[in-house]
Amino acid sequence: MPDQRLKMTLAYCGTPWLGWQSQSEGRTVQDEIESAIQRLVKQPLRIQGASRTDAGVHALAQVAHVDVPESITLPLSAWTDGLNALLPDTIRVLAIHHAPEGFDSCGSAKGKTYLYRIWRAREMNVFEADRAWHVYGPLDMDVMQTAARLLIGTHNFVRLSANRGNQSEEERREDVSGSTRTIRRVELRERGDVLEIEIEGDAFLYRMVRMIVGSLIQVARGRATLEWFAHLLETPSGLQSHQTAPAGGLYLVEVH
Amino acid sequence: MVDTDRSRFAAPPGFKRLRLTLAYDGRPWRGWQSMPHGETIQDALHVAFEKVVGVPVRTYGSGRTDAGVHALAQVAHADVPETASLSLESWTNALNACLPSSIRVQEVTEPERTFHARFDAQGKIYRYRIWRHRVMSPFEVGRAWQVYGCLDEAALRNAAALLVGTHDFARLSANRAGEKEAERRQDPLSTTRTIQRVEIFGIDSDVMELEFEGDGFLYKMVRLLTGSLMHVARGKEDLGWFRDLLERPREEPKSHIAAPADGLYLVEVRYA
Repeated sequence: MPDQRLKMTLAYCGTPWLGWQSQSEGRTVQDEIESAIQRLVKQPLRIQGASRTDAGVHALAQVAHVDVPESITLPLSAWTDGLNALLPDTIRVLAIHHAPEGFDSCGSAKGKTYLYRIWRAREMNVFEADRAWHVYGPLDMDVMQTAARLLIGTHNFVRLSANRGNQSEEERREDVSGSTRTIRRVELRERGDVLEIEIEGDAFLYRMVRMIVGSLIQVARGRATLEWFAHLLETPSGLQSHQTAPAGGLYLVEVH
Repeated sequence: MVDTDRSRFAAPPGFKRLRLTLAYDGRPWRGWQSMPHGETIQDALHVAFEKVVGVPVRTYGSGRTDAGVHALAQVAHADVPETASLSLESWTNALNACLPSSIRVQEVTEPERTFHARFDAQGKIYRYRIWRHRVMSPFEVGRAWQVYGCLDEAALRNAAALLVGTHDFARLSANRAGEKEAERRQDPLSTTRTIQRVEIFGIDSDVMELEFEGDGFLYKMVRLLTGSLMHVARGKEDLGWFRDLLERPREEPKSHIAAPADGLYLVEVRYA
């Protein structure tokens, strides 16, 4: 009998978790969801997420799919309520639908939107610990805006991304198409004490958003020049940016 | 009752008084008030002070907050040796360096020597946050109370309006451990408080807030007020039930509908 594919939309606070993807050690969001599914349907089922968020990174709407054998005849609402009853309260299922024909959470994703939150006041907000990056002091927003505009378009982001460790840095550098991505939109918003950086693109490399944000802030603080930033994008042969914003400020907002 | 002899509360010779404004995320803590086994906000503050000045320092808060209750601006005072000659900004930085990230000193000032965080407090503002969506937000766990479903806005507003003024809140407050209910009830003045303002924000959005401003609040009072107001809003009891709690304070039973600590925030302590 053919399996039936379900599309899940999930939100989680990343603070307690070692990221999305299952690992040999430590608890991940994927582990928690798979274990909840197993308890719900009494069968081990694998799920596939659209984005492998790092340890401490949050999601407002991660997308995942799961293939369910036809022998399991649980209505959709029972899936949502059942999983939410079994999941820890830092992980919530927002919605579950029957996936359209040919849907694949990873392969069908045409783009993603990430949000990075920065707390700008002198003292860190107690409610923002692990949810925003504390950057106090003057930022040159005009320079930052100019740098942000340089990101728009298709670039080789090899110097604004990290090596996941599954290939040598040499190999990674050689695979130009593997590190080329398109950024469609970068928006900077100042909302009271919070500076938000929203980035939309076709896909993102490992640590890419955090390194972009870290580098933008470096320029805005006047610790690096606009030329340095432009160089990172235009000359893929140099050193990587060593500026990585902490995981706690990053949110996966939407998978398109 | 307090201003009879303010000098009694003055900073002793050789000490200067500091006034602290503090924010804390109440989730990891067993409330404000120091306890023998620690794990309270005041205990964490004492540890930080001792690290900074080298000797034990006592702090006095504007009032207690329960385990799990948050503060945007709790006020406390402490007397430190005059020999500890830090600038006020350095006090903030030094204490924050020694405090966990769930507690932050927002500001340190030097008030009059007789300033007393509790006795001089003239009023407080509390806010209660309610998450109204069907699915609880993973970011609001421990920070809001989830109440999903239809609310009778008119009933809620009418009940909230009844609160404004001076009432005996004996049936909308709790007795602390070790306190006998009969004794508490003997002195109506001890359970009488004045509420100046009750405001309802965002009734149609995901986060709804109830804000209470009053001269002072009894133990568990804001949580019982919120729980009881929401009880009426959800149509579980009518306005008459709520009015009875307020207007016939000697009757039984008390309201037992306390909202959880999670959603409660001490927003401001007012001084003259």
